[in-house]
Amino acid sequence: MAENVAGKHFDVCIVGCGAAGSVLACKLAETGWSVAALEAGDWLKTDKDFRQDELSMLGKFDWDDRRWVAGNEELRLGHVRDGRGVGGGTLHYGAVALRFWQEDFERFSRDGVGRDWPIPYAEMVPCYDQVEREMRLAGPLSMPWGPHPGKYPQGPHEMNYRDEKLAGGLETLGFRWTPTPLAILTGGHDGRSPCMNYGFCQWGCKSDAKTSMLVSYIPRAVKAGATIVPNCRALAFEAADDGRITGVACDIAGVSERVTADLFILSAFCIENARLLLNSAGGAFPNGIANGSGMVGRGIMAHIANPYFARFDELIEMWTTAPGTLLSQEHYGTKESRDFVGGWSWMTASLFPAEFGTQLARSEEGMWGDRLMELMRDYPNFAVLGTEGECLYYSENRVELSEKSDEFGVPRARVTFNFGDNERKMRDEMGNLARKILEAAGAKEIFIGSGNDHLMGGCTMGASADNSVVDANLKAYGHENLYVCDASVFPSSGGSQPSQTIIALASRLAEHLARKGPARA
Amino acid sequence: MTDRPFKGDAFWDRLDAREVEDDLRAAFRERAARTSGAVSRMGAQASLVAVVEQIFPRAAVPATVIAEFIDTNFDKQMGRGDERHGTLPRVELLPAGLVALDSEAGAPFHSIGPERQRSLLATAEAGKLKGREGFDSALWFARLRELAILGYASDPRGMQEMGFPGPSYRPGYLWLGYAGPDARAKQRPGYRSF
Repeated sequence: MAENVAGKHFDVCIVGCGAAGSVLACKLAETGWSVAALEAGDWLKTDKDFRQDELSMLGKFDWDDRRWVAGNEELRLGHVRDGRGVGGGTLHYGAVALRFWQEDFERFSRDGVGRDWPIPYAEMVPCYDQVEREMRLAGPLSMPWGPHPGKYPQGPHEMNYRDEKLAGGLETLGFRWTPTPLAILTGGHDGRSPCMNYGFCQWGCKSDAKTSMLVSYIPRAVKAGATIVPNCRALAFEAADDGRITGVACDIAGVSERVTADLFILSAFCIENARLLLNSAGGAFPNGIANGSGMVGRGIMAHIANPYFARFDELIEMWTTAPGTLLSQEHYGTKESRDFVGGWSWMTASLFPAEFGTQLARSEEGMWGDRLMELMRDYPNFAVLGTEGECLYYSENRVELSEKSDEFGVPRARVTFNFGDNERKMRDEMGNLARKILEAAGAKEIFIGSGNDHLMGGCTMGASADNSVVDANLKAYGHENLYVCDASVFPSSGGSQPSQTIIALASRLAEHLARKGPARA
Repeated sequence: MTDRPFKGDAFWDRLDAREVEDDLRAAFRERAARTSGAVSRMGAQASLVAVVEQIFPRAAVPATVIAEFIDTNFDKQMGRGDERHGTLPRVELLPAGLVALDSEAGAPFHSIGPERQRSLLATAEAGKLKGREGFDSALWFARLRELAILGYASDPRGMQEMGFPGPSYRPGYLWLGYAGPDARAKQRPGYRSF
């Protein structure tokens, strides 16, 4: 694939083909820009490469390179955390498609903690509207909470018995629920299949119903002439003394190459963005690219994602639909009555056998031997309720370069991550409520797991070059032709899945750049 | 316990009938055909098998097969990249735990009797088993158990013991026993079969 970029100069070079990079590649190519989009992983085919089997799929589109982690929260990296492959994290996402709320953008102004977004929420609304239409989201006629207006383009997904049981528990306690808006088709669109309820969304959707970038924006990008370069590992940016980025050094399937463009967009997700910028230190930028403030890598966030296991006396078979088909945002956002800020979303989860066992085993001590066997044998009688809880911005949670290098000679990442008091209090409250909900649903036994999910931050956007990496237009401070776009720019994490906000941000950036036009013009 | 519909011949008949890819069907057959395994890379085969027997007692998948799975995969990333800073990397951690068990037992772990084995494993799980510098026994226990669970649950014998029907082709799980797929194929032109 090196020949696709060798000796060519592009209007824009995008590093990373995930939720943001794919949308940018598509929209800029459709506007007439020449686009090179570099992707570290493979370009998989849904029918040829995806298998409905955990073991076959482990590592196939996971960024499972070694990274060092430290801190009080076990940060699991790789599968269902960071994607690798054309489509990025959307290859494994559960496709829960929610907007952040206005208060998520104003966390500091409202609560005096964390940070505000430098973008007024109203400016994001048309971007959300647009990508929801494009992606043909499937959801309810109306949402009981939050900012979403009216109905979704396609009808909601079917609910299974897991959903009925958990909905019953929520209702008993007076908590509202709704079918979750999902980026998974329930009707036909663009020649793609509607959802077949295979259930393996997070292991690779074979039907193409799940709107991963691989089956949606990437084909559009290719049609519009974008050059997608799989198996291309970006190693370092090169910068002139005035800050202009002049190229990016890459390894393309073993061949060293240098890609040049007038403009660069970094969309390689939280850890790799920071690692690439820090590894580009040199010349006029001894602390790394875009790091005049010393903020590159800082402000890593992860949702409080706890699995709550409910064991019933009857057959549940939780795996028969997409994982997150039932949603409640009854506890979203800051509430006066609680002693912490922010909140969370509840949603159902499906865990296939190995992941079920692994997560259940982590829920309490002594989960092995006869006890583990007894519960594993009762797998079909389990339902799982999950959470996505807000994690505040702490600058001490950060990515740095370690002393050890990988096979490309790039220092491996070291990630320090701690939950603070706010997260601990929220987690306690979640656990108390989850127990009540599952008891009300009729569970005969309940297991309280703990975990985290969805990395965000590391290249925080903000109004000041002193404490931010990019500005409100996602342009890197100190570099006229470098932008960063993905979850790494989030100044706050919200209490729900980040993918729609990433995609909306990418759409907004594409419009901003298209208005400016390519540099050659 | 509720009776599960997908066991034994029914499990395999379904796999054969439902358009599962040839390579996946072959992999399932191959996994389920293993009756014994060998530990060649981590050393201490008997001790590793004894640990697995304690984690998965009387399981449908033989402990030697799970032990071989661990031995084959302990130094692979298997979709997970995080390594705890300041502790042994996974590739050294897992063999180091077996050495630590033998050392604490004062004899090969497999030879000390089940009750002491369980007691030592509980010590390891609590993070109190001593080992070489950088050895964290709680981490060792968690990572070993994770691999053991993967070996067990990805074996069709384990799946059947758990009551899991395997891949869902072609109509999807929700429609098992329903005429849904054909109806949907007619109503929704985008419907894709394999």
